[in-house]
Amino acid sequence: MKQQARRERVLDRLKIGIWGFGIIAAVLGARSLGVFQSLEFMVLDQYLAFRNQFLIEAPDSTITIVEIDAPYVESAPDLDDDTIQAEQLAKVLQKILAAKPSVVGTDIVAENIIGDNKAPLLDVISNNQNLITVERYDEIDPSPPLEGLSSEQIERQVGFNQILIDKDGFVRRALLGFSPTSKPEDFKLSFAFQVVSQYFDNKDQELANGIKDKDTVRLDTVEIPRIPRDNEVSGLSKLANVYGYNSKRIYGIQTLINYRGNVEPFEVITASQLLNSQEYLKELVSDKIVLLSLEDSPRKFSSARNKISKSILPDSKIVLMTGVEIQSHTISQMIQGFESRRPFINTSRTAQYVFIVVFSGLGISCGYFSTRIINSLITLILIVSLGICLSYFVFIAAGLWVPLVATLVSTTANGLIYINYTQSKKRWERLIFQLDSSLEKERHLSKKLEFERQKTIDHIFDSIHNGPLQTLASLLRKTRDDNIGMPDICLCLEDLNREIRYIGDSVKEDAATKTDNLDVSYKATKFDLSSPLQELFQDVYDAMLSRELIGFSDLKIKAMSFDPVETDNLSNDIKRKLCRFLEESLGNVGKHAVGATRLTVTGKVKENLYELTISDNGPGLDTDKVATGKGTLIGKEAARLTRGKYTREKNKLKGVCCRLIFPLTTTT
Amino acid sequence: MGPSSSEAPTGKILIVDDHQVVLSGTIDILRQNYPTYTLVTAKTAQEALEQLASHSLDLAILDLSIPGEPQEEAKVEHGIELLRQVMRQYPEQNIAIQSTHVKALVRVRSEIDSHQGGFTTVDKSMSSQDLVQRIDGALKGFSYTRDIKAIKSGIELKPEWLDVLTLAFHEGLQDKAIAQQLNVQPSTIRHYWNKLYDVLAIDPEIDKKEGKNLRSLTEIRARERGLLD
Repeated sequence: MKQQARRERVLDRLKIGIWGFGIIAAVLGARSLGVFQSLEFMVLDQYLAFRNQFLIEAPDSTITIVEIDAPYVESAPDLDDDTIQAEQLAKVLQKILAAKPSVVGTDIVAENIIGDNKAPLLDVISNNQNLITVERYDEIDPSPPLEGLSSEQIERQVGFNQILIDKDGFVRRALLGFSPTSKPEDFKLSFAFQVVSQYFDNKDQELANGIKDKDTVRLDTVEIPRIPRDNEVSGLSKLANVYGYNSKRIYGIQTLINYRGNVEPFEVITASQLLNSQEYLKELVSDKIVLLSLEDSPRKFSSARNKISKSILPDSKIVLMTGVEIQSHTISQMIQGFESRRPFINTSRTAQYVFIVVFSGLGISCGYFSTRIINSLITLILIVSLGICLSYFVFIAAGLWVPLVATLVSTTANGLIYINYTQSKKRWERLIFQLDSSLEKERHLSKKLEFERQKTIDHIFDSIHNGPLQTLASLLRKTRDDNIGMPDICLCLEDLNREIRYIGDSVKEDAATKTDNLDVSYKATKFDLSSPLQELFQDVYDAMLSRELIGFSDLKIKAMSFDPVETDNLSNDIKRKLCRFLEESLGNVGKHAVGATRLTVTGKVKENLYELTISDNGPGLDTDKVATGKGTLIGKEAARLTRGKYTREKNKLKGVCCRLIFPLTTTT
Repeated sequence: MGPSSSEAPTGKILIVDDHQVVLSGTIDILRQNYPTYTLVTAKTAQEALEQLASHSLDLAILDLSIPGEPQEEAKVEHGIELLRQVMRQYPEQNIAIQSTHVKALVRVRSEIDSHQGGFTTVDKSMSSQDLVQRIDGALKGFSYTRDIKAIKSGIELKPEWLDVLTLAFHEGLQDKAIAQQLNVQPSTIRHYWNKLYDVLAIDPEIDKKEGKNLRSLTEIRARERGLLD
């Protein structure tokens, strides 16, 4: 039984749990389809913006951005970009290289380097292995490397500077390397990668392929987390891989850019300022990574920086970023990631699922936490806040990016559904309880009715037996003895008529008034059962002795006394039965004790016992008849009700003694 | 039949009646016959109980149809309840019931039979002479309850009284010996005798005056009525 109940309970829980599983599954499914992706990206941008806004990270001092300005640059109004004479650039580079930077990256594509005399520039490049230049792979507007570079120089000192832009126009990813022809031997490295590679090369450290992920970049044990490509995922994940990108659009080695958390993350200086100051050269160039670009190169890249409130941005800065700034962030995150274990933005299916499932579970538990709706809602709000804080914390601390939007949707939906469920369950339980209790009341009532019915039958039977039947017996005897005249018979019959009618009327009356009475049909009256027992006995005695019964006619002495008795613990039913017993016993005397001269009726309290005795000196008793008589029956019933003892025996000399002894305290 | 003025016993008598007329009438009669007694009155059961508690009374004359508390309706039940309480709290208090509802006392007859003080009943329609006689009896501790008991045949009495009769006239024992035998106080035996006089329709005051011996008269009457074999 118990086991079955437990099984049922578990099944019930499972049935209820289906909702939770359903919601979680639906949310995970929707997430796989990329439904939440734009929202998730917004959350990611927001996190990065927060970090920027509150300057959680110090500026990265290993990188200096140098903007080449006039007089080195020539503005060309008919072109989008400014241009620079190759000779000028070579001059600038030489001056910078003289200050012994770690790496110099020139983020100026070949088409912007003009002039016929490129020999000095090519010389500078070939003399300085730590000088990296760029090329651009673009189907519409490609820009090959500088002409005249050897293939070895192209391989080691040229990187592409493409910047990947998401569908919503934001830059979140960095492309570290790819093969434009899809052939492994044509694999090209990015500008940022070349700079970083050179930086570690100077320190005799070498970037290598990953171990866990062979396609990614590794230094020692640190691997850059890579966004999976189409051929690496299957099923629904093709639409939105673990990073939320449509994997068909992912190629090469891509990673999310963990923008440096500061509004001024890198030192920026113009070439003219820098080159005119030895101090600057020493401070900002020596051992640094110096990235060069042309001044006024277009600010066209949106990023998390767009989300920073404008008021805290330095006046000179605007939210959109230049290409070299994006490159700086990419370089910075790689160097910091490898050197000081600054986290890369990463994620994993497992972490995402755990996060969603755990918080959905917490949401579900809101319903169970409290039966009060307000408490449940407050709990849900707390859980949601905890989710937001926790996801932000793991992002800041470990770069772990968990799907907050999907989690919040699942948690809130689950929370609300289960709070609602608990509330309706509570309502149901209350209704069922009300139903149960009213059913119970009804059962109780019908039991009581049955009991009352039985009691009424008993009363009527006792009334008839002790009233009209006695009269009838007396009449019969007198008729048999032939000592009664017609007028007396008529009187007797009238009595009988009255008694029987009275019983009927009184039962009706009792039903109407619902008071506890003792019917005394032969006196056409009733006694109030709430009176003290001795008075009731007295009343019954008086009523019985006033009847024209043959056994009473010769009585000379009636010794009678009833001791007062505490009747608080005697119920009216017991009192009624005791009165019936006295009535019946006196009736027996009246019927059978023909010629008796003495009647003793006493009720005595002896310690804790009450002894009711009815004794006569009549002709004695016929043992066989008595055993089955109604009198004995009432005596036994009275004894049972009072937990007492009933005896009826012959007196020593003559007559019958009828006795009921019962305890006074234990009767209830 | 009042006490002769030479003896002049003093004491207090309580009269309970809610009818001012009856009350004044009773007071007049008592003033005439018991000039040395202090009279106290009460109109409700509550008042009566207060008077009983604050005075040591020689006699309480109670009406049965009285209100329990002031403003309440007069009912026989209140009188009966008052009587019950008085008998319970003051088991030796002399009581005279002056009422038109004497028969109502049949319900408390067992308690009356057990009551140790004088107990007489007076119907309000009785002459003032009879009233004084009954009051006198009650004051002396006698019993007159024959008007309550209207049982058709035979004599009704308490089994203990029967025992007194048997011990006195079959075995010739004196009151003291009877008390020992029955394991009660001698005063109780005296009380039993008073009750027996009542049952056997002996009026001690009158019969004594007529020169009758009460005990002998008792024996004769008891034998006549079959109380003694």
